[in-house]
Amino acid sequence: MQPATKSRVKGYFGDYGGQFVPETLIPALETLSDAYDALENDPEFHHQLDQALHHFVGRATPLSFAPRLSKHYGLKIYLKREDLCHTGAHKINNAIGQALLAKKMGKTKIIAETGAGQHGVATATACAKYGLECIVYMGEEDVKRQRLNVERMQLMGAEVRPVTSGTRTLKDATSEAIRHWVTHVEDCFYIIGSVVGPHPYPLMTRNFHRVIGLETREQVLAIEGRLPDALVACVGGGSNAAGFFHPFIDDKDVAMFGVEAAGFGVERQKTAATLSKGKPGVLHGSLSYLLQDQNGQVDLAHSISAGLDYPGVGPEHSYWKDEGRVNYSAATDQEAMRALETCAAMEGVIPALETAHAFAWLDKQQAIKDGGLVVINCSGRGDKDMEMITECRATTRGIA
Amino acid sequence: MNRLTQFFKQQPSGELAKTLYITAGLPSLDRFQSTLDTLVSSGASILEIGMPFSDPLADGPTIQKANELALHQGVNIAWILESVQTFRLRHETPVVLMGYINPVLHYGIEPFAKECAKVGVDGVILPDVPLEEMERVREIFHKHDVALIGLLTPTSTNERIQQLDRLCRGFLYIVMVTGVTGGDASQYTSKTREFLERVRGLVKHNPVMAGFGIQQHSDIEPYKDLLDGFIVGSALLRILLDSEDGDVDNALDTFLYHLQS
Repeated sequence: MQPATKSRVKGYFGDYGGQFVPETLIPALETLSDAYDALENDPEFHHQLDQALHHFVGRATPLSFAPRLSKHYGLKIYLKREDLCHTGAHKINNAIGQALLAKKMGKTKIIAETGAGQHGVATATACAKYGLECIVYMGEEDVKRQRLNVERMQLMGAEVRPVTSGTRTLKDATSEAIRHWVTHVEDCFYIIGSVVGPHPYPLMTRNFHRVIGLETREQVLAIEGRLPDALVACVGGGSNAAGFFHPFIDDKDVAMFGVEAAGFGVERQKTAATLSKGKPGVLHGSLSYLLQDQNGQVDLAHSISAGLDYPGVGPEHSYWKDEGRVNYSAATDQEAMRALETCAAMEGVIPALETAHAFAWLDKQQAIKDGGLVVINCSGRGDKDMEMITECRATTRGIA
Repeated sequence: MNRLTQFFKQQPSGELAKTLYITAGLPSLDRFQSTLDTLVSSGASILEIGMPFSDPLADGPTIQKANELALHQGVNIAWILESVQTFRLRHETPVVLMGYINPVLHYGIEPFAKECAKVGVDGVILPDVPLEEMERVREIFHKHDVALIGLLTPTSTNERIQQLDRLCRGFLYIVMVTGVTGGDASQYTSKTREFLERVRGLVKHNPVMAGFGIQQHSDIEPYKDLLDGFIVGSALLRILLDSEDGDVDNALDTFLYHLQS
């Protein structure tokens, strides 16, 4: 569905985005949008946010040269070290930003959804820091699979509510969080964990993550004296990629590569490669590419990484795909695992399983010539995935 | 003329219209038509048929479960349109379809609207298409004389209520609570009446029907003076879902009896 007229662009990225939510939420979205717009131009808010990002999150994160990977692939590779953020991934940038916004709006009750638990942990962390109540919806399957992250959230005072509807994973946790929001819209603030959801969330979340790209730009110019030839990031909902890419979007010489999770393979039923395999559709409040069946029912996603295990994608990525600005491809579970092992052994950095999909691009890419300058967004660290990694390696050894 | 328009034109003043909601394909594909017959003979003024979706954001556990069951049985838009066509061979009761936008989008809005008109659907309710996204959809449905029914909620501003009243047809769906379907009348407060009074003062072009949380006639009794009708959904579905196979008809009869004034 197209926006009704060309002038009706509020909340749209090209043809994608919008506010496909029940009427109950619309006034709240308007209030949120106004509050966000006002704070965008508020130096005091930005000062507070910058202080928190520096003293609490640990920004700026380093841009590390990866000498052995560079030699291995015949490229000049740098890693933007979001894995060194407090709580272990980029998610905290947005959680802190939105929690601060909620506080400014006088909201004291926060809800969030989480898949692997990273956004849940980031939100619980931000809420503990700012003294806010926190409820995290998490699929029952994920609660079982990510026991440690559940403990972390609870330790920081958050209530974790297992979701037993539908597929019992991230998709249904998000639906349940939206239902809670519809019911408690007057006093609760929903911190969405990716660049998805109704306007203004995709815009707001991307902007809170822009710090990744802005720092990268400054750092790469300082070290190399020029912009990179390519940026690479993994894409689930797409928040780390959106924040990383956006400050470079007008630099036509910087090629951009988004890597989705192909699961068992893009041609197979079990995949999470929304942009490669999906068609435009509406889920969780916005129009974007979507994995769906022949009747428009949302398909199950599959990926080895719980953080990419989502059938939708942020609307701005759909726009960038159609515009041809960003090149999207997909890496399988196996390719991601192999890339993770390579990076760990060669650089002493264990990326998260999500992030490993970005590294897998190095094995297949042909677009960037020898010696090209490439920055990979190392969006999170792999400590949380050690159980899954161990299991995978054991299986592989078993087969071999 | 659209059956909804006709119905409200002929409705005696002071009498509440009764809309009964059922998810398509329940209690089973085979028994769907006979269940519709039961609802009509119990005095349903309007039938609302739910088109199942994998992610029903505005619905509570009962309708979620009903959606899952319907999808599991293979219910899709084509099946629903065919069912309405079959129903139309026997009844002139107005029928509205309620469903989320994605399956409709996938089917194609124009083909869907056209088929709705052809098989005898009188209106559609799309709970995830608010005013903001309504424009193109609305023109297409109205071109085919299928009413796009708007939803008003306690959080709706006066301006939005007036806009929805201007743009929508058939009736306006008054969402009694700030929340999802499947609650009960204990959620109604003094603010509920204030909201309904506000609606009554602002709405000029459409009948207003209240839903969300209504389980029996007495739930709506206190607000009778402010409404043209009411809608019962989850409570009815619970009867269909929870009764043992042999008892469905009896349980349904008892339930429908309590919906009468």
